[in-house]
Amino acid sequence: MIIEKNKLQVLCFKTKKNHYIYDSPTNEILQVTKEFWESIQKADFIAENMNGNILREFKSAQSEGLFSTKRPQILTTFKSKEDYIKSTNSEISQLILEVTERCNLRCKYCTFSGNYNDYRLHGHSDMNEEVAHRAIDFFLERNKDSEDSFITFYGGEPTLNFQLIKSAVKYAEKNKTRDILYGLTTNGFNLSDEIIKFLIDNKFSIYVSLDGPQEKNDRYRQTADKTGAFSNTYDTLKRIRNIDENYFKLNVRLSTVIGPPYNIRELKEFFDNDSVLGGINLRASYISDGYTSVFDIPEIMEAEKINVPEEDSLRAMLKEYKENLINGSPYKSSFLTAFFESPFIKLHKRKLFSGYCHKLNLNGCCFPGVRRIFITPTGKILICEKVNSTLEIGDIFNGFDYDKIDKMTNTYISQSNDKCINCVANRQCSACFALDFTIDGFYEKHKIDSCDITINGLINDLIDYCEILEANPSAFDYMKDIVIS
Amino acid sequence: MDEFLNELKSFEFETFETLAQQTENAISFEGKLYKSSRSNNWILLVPIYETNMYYEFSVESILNHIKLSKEDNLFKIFIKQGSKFYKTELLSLGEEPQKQIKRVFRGESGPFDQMLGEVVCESNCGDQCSWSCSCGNCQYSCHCTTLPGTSSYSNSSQNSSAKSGRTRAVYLGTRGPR
Repeated sequence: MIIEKNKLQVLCFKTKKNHYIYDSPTNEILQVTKEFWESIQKADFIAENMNGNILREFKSAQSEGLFSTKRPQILTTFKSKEDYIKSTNSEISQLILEVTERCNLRCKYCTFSGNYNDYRLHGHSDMNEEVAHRAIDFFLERNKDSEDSFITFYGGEPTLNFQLIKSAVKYAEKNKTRDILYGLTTNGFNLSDEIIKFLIDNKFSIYVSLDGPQEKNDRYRQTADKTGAFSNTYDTLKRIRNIDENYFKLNVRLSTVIGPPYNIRELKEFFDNDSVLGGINLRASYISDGYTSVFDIPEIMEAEKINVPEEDSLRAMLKEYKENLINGSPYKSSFLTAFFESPFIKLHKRKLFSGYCHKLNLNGCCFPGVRRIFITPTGKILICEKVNSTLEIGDIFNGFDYDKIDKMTNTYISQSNDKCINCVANRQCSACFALDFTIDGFYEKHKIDSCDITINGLINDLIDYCEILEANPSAFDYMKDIVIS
Repeated sequence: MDEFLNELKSFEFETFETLAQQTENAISFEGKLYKSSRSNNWILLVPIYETNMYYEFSVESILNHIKLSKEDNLFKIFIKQGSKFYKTELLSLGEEPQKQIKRVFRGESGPFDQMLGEVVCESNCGDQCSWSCSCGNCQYSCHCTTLPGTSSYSNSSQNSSAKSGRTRAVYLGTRGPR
């Protein structure tokens, strides 16, 4: 028996205590002896230079489905076209309305700043009532079999078209056949008491963009005249809390974009301990790196050169978060949890497979037009709020353009298939349509760049995950209460 | 163990001479008999030197496929492969070798659709996967709208917050600073 090692889809990694192999086809983590680990790690071929005991166990493991050398044959969405069309006609769970292109801020990393190719620029278009009501009709007709029903408002800054939001909610409430949950993504700049009262009365979940303490936030979040947005946004949050503290705790979340310099401790101290925001739910993400020149902006380039003390760095904060988990306090820091938890959820809730699969799911791609739809002011349908304008999949007046969806999906598959079926991270990959398409078609470079990041990230995540569980086998038991939507 | 040895002893060796003639060119083996912690069966472990491979035989398999001989108070086992019998020196009775591989940290989801196992599509569409056939024509037809592992984990910023009580916002992007 001779197997070329590169035929295996495995990642060898180790912690201070143990040696491990991640077996991609089964999604299993294997703790192995040092002798076995070194044999696999160093060998070019399985069989040569292996002692009989190791080889016997390798064979035995193979008979149980581990260490498969077979590759999935195709990426697929796992749905027939007929089922897919049926889903788009009855299972859409979320409608996102871009109620305006206008915005009162000019954040430097903004998707609409001109630094992201194929995204619109800051515009002046507002959605009108006719489009909003038609979009709601379109959604309600196609939401019947979905578990959830969400309508959310997006921009630009959606509150600049507040009258339309009011009208849309009134219309949806009048025509609904089931409860609808509403959401709003806002910069929180100049939210009037009237708007705040409306949001509370209608139990809106709101996402407010705030990047940290004043200096940190105002580095990138500014008005057109370069005034920092912090004071105004913070004041809005304070007013919401003063009006209804319970609502604030349950329904207000922050959306935090992290840009350089990466002083993570500063963010942690602020979001955990601030008198108004301390302990608030938040979502943290980095400045998007897809098909963009944003990192060529002088301020961002300069900020990337700033050295962050080791004790304040990403690495130090991750260490602190791991200690929280090991000590059974996963929520000790809400910021660290928001920032670092997701890879562990993904690993801890991963599905295990018994072995080789003929088909492989299409990375992290959604079924376009099922999970959510994003409606522009003119009624065009995009896959979601994160994609650029090339991923238009129809309009609310004529419905979905299934040929276009087919073409997009098939392009993604054909461009990704060979790489993905051979990739060791293919069970843990979150790549999706967003960011991988440009006006010129599939943007292969971005996909490939993100592959390296995904694989390297997976190795680090696996090491951290195992180290935590070595120290506390129950560290992730609390995740049983987390339901991923 | 005693029971097994008794079974071995109960074999009749009348045909031994015949077998021996057939196995003049047989490969010789050394092996170990141990009790598997995994299956709780007695396992005969036999390495084949020329190929550097090991074979495991369950007790049942041993009794069906081997013939035994007794010389000088040692058992000799003839293992049948195809039409040939191979002779082995028996066999020290030993402990199970140290396990080299252990499945650990299996998360909370467990095996996905384990009941289906490695199903093969009844319509012969060629699908074989460990969770379900997706041909749509057979009893294993897939009804999932969200596949395991990825799409269900996509950014849930908009609606997870609205599912009050049950969920928290989880951002699962993995990209770090450039």
